[in-house]
Amino acid sequence: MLGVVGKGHQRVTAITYTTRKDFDRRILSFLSNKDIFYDTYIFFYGISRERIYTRFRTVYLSVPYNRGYVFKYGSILTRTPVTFYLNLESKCFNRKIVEEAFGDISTGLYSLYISTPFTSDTLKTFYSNKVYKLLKELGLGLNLLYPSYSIVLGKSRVFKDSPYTLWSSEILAAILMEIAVGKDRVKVVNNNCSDILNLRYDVEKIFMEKLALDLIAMLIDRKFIDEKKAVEYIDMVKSG
Amino acid sequence: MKVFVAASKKYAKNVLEVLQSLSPKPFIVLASLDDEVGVLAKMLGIEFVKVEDVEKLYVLEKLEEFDVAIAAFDDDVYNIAVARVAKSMGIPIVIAFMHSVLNREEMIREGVSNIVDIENIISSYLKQFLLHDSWVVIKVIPAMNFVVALYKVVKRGLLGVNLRVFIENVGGGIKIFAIDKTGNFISEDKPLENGDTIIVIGLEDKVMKIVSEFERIFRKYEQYYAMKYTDIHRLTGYG
Repeated sequence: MLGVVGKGHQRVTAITYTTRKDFDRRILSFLSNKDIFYDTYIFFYGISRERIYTRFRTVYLSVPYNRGYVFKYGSILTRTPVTFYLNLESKCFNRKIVEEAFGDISTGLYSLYISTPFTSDTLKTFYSNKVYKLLKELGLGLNLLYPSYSIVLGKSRVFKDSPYTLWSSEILAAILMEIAVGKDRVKVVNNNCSDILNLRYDVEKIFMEKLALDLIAMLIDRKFIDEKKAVEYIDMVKSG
Repeated sequence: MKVFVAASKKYAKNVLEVLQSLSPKPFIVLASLDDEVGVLAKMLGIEFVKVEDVEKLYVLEKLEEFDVAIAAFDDDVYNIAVARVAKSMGIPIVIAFMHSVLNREEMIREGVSNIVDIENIISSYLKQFLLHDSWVVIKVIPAMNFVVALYKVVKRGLLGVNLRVFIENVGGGIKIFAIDKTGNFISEDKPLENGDTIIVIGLEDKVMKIVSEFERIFRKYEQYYAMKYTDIHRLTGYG
């Protein structure tokens, strides 16, 4: 598959992100493959005054712990029609998954490919109580079982147009895709491996509440629900 | 002079005020993502382009004739993107606002010729008010790499160091003086006291070198000071 992607198809921009300096450097050798990647950026979104020394371009975000900005700014810096977002702290990174994803996107079968959950128990609980409950009621994004994912590949346009949220912009992008284009454009893959997220200081509730509210705002914006219904949903989120 | 400004609502007013005070007045085109900036541009009679996305700036062909581009957005990524557009249009001077020092290399790589270091301004001003007994470096004339290093003496006022010790260690290209609480200059032989401020002026690399040298001198004096008291202690112990 890689040969097909590399030679016959357009290359992609890789936007990778990390909060730590000491991530597993083995991923970088894959990212330096010039046949696949047009350009690679590392977004550092943690708190540190130290530089990351790699062969890639590094951008340090001024708002720490805002993973949503990675998607927003990644879509600004990308110069290819397809963008690949990767969590550098991922322990589940697998070339096979990525090759499969490239195949799906480059053949035009899907617009968005999501795999490898990036979650913790607390985050999952808040997600199911606040967001997934809402999604079930709406009948949208039913295969998005986890709050965030480590490997996201999609048309750059998807992230440019979708509203950003504090942590899980890919969820919003997937739901927007479902509403605007169709359910069959998003592929969510369960590859039986998930990355454990270590968030300290109980910020999970903030992330998920913001995601739910941003989701409701987006649905109103797209005229998917009316304002009366939105008030009900907001009450549901606040109580959940 | 033709100046292209891409600014957020936060910085648009500042940048435009500076540009309008120039003589002869430059021709300005203003682009922004915010509607507020559009209102400002209308009031000042400046040509305004509202863009939804920085990428849309590539469509503005007239930018190829411009001399200066100023990227004054709230985030470094936007400024990098604007610098990239300006570079592709062949604008010779690109000035960008930088919010994190760590992004300097990336900006230079994207073709930014002059950087306005906002982080340094904020942190150095805050440190001036809050930090004592350590060096605060403020960039005064960034275009010439000219800096001022301040040192407010508090605890180290006990050491009895005078300014002459420092001046002897300074080479060429650096000016050093000290002022007291009331703002009067202190003579070289008077020991520095609590509340005095040492000021060093010069080019950045020289000042940084001298600052570490001064820190070493202070440490040495602290050592002498400590030794003096431990010796007394030892004497009383034996006696």
